[in-house]
Amino acid sequence: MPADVHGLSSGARKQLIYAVRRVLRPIVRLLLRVGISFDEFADVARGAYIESAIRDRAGTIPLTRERIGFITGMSRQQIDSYIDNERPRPRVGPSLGRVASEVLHRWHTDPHYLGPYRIPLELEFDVPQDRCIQSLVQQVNAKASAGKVLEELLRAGSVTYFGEKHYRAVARWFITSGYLSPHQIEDFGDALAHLSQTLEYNGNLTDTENKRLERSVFADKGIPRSLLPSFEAHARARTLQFLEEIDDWLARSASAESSGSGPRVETGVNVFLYVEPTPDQERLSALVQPRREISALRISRLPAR
Amino acid sequence: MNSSYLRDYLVSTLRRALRPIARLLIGAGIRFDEFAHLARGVYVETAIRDGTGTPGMPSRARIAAIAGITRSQVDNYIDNEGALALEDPTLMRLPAEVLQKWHSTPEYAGPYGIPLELQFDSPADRCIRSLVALVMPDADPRVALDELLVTGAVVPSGERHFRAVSRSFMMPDPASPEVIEHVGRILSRLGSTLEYNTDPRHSEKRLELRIAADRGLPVELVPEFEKYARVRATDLLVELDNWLSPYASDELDSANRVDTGVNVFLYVESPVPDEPLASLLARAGSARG
Repeated sequence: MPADVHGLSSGARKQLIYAVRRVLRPIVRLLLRVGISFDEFADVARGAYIESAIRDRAGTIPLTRERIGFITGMSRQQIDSYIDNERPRPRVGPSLGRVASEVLHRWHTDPHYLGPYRIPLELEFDVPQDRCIQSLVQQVNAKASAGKVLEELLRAGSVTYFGEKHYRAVARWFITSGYLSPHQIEDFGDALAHLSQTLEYNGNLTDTENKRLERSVFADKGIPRSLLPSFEAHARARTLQFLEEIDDWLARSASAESSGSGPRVETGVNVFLYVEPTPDQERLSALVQPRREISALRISRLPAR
Repeated sequence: MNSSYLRDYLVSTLRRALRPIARLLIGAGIRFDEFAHLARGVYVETAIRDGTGTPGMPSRARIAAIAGITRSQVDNYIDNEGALALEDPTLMRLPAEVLQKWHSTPEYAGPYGIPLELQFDSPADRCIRSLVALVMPDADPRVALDELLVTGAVVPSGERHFRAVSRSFMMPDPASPEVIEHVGRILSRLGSTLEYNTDPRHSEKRLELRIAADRGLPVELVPEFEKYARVRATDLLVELDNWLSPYASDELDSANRVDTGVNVFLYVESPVPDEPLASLLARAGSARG
């Protein structure tokens, strides 16, 4: 997915518009579920367009507001309004869920919190001071409330009570369930943005050798629906094993103590299972109530002007 | 949970998710109005196909109210079939499936499961032509072979044979319809899984897991990480492929089947400073042009 693909064939352009239609569908499904209307969506999208035109620009032609208007097809007023009133964008810090994920990771990989055979130690909430839930959370995010993080981990079932005072990590992964949470929303945006970045990187023709890992395995002509749960269970078990290996590698290789203080980049691996929806076969008009026209009778009853 | 707090997260997420899409569209010369027209249509389509939360067939007025779109616009998308971009499938999936068959069908594998070297059309029951026909009977085997040769997944062996040297298919031209179709397909698959998992009606969540380096990874370690992840991911995918292969047979009942799969990707975030837009413009030569 190159940043600049001018000169697209008409087939490619058509494909691009259809691709965006596909990508938007699950996003819009989520937005409709939480009551975000098209106008609100368009407002954010307009901002994303202007931001991209400015921040992701390529080439050496000086960027003027007129040029942004030309590139995006927006009016000068819209451009000015967005740039000059750069609204205080919602600044959101890492969600509690993200902190909880990192706490679990550290609990399973930091030797200070591991017992024999690298099994995570059972911890008390605040004693001893250097090896407890509080110190663990503190190391991950000094601003986070250890009590809230622990509550989140207990609710997700990743941590359980052990005796009267201790807590045990029973899962290496933090998976939220039920109601839409900030963590889920954050994960939604992160995952889509990460995949977009990888696809974009791989579309860069100047470096054809070093493509970033992005691979799929799929069932040729699908699998019987009845086998889906078995496949999901198998894929999940195998993926957890795979991610634990990756996690161990990262913990071994990437700890701040062992790898100096040079520049660092955020990186990771994501695995997901998909199930393609049934193709849309019916026309939209067949799925809504027929159009109701104003009857001649009602028209005749309208008062004459 | 405070709902405005949740909404802030959502708006922030939306902005993050839309930015690469906007970048791609701008790069392709597609202006905002065209995008907005498409997005408006997706709103109408989604409200209709995925439900409005009320039983029965929705009215056009209800769709307009839910989506926040005028009634005449709703009518336009419903009554004009061409108002929304239609699917125009490419043959992108064909070479990938041919490779998969070549590696997993016993007739095309030699000792230890290594794919046999094949000629183009002989013997008739074990050649490139028969292999392609196994995947898509009406496809042109020459086109499929050319795609595989161009990407390097298959190489000539001697004068007449071809050898599969990779189990996976990488597409060559980033501006080709095939690549764009791939991008749309993969992103929408991830989007669907993520959306499925946020729906409280689904108590069993779909597999979607991520592992990240806490506080990042030193830049110099990234190539080593990529190498390690690639090897481990290949093992994972080959194993899942082997699990799926027995169920791909044409002899099985084709009704009531679902298209499913697993995707693995590695990401590296490029840290972009979030400076005010006005200052970026000033630096580029125009404070207020």
